[in-house]
Amino acid sequence: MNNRLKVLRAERNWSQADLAGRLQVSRQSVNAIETGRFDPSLPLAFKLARLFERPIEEIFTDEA
Amino acid sequence: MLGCNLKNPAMRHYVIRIVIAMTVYAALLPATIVTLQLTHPQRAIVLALSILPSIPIIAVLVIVGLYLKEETDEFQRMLLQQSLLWGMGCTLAFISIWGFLEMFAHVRHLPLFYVFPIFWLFGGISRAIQRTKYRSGDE
Repeated sequence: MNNRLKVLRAERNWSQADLAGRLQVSRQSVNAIETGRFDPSLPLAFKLARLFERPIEEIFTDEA
Repeated sequence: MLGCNLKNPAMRHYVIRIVIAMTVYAALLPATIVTLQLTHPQRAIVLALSILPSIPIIAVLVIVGLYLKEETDEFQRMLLQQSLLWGMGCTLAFISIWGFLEMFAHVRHLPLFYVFPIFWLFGGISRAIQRTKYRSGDE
């Protein structure tokens, strides 16, 4: 799954550590999601959506 | 097998519990050996004493289970679950191969209590590979 996390994060001038702190996960987790190596669960995806004030489908896009 | 970020409450609990379990193990094992050597107790007591050092070892499994229950970071949970599975799979493969080697090639007998450290060894190797695979590239 592709995502726009890096762009959304850059718009807010947040580091991965900043985002990780806001999500209460490790920076390694944010990195794995951002680079598409780990797909978050629905609850975490909703948390990201609330944090960036965007619908989930604007953050994550299906590769197909 | 786990990384050690003590700011994470689940990890902090895990480390404290492991230290306690290992301290109990470090005390029980020599105490059992010395007791059995010096007292030559009855069979039932020998059986009970022999089982004693395995209690903190079993506790380690429970502690890992508690960590998985308490860890709120789903990615970290997934990493540990993967390394546990690799640890189990590799251990089963290793002891199966060793078992046949013992039976047919008469290699040295491997005492069963080595299975647990072998499991953690393979799990640890798996964790090291994961660290390389998921090494943070950005920032």
